[in-house]
Amino acid sequence: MHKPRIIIVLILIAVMMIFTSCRNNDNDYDLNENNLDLNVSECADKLKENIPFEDTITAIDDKMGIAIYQLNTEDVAEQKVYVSTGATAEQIAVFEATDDNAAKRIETAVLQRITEQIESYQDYLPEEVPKLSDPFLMVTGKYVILCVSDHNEDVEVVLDKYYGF
Amino acid sequence: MVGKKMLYIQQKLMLLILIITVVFSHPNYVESIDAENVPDQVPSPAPPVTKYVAVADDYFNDAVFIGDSRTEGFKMLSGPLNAVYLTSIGLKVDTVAVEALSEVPFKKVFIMLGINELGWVYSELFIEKYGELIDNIKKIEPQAQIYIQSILPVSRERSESDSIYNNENINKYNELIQQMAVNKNIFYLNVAECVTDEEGYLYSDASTDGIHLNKKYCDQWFEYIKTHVVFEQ
Repeated sequence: MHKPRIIIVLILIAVMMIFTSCRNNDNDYDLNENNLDLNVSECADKLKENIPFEDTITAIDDKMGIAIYQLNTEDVAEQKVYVSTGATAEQIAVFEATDDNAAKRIETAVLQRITEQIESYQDYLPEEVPKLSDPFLMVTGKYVILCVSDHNEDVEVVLDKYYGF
Repeated sequence: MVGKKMLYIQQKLMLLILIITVVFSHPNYVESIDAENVPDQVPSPAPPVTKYVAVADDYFNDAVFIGDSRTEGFKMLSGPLNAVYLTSIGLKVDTVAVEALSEVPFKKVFIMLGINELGWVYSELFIEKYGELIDNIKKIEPQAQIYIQSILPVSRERSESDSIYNNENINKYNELIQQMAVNKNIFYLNVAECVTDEEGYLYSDASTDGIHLNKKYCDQWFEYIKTHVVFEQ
């Protein structure tokens, strides 16, 4: 007599679990690479607000963002880039590429800039090299997220908190 | 009778006129009137006010900026997007890839170098190499207007704690740079004055490390350039 009830309860629990995992609320982002819809400006701002950077970092013009990372304009749909004054190598760059292949090209360009910066800072400010050597760089679908700081763990916390990454 | 009466009236009138004239011409009376209406002294002409006109953004269409990390920061934060930049962290007077200028059209050059050379043993070598750089630029484009910018100051905290990057060394180098500008017949742009406080230091809120400027002060630097260049109206 109890068995059917137990089965019904288990089915209800299973249905609730499935329903909950599919539910979207204001703070959840679909992690499925094909359905990502990230506000790159907001993402960059969240990182700026929540990571304890040593230097003052400032958002730059989109054209300058394209220039410093030597990107193809056609590859970039949206972007927000923060740079430091030069006192440190700290930076934030969040890109929405036009497609996944463009995202890979952006990633390559970003890594190239990081490599060049390591070379520059080696003699100039060697204490900046460790953060350049271990940047937070994530590519997910058409999105590329770069953050150079001494707080990669905090970056992960921020992205997890606001975007579920 | 009528004639005598007229004469009498005429005499009285003349007497009245005389009295009025005497009263109004008395110095005290004149002074009292003047004191009410005339200031104590005539104001001298105000000194002429020099108004600087900022050039338009397209002025930098054919401009090149050459510099070290400070100019690199200027480029990213405030500099004209339409200019060409030959900048890099740690750049010095003898490491500028000036040959790259052969590939870009330019008519104006803005240079700021020197802070990375403050530790050189011989300042004369710095000026010699700076002079060679200028000569090479002139060879590539003889008609270019060349502006040498003064080295920006550092903060009090930096200046008082650093044996190399301090304002005493910077001021010494700026004197040499200014003289070189005279010798080479090029422009000396004293941009340092727009970010220097009353005591000769970089403003305390201009930088986190006392050397590299934030956007607010890079904006002031650019504004100084725009209002101090030579142009034809």
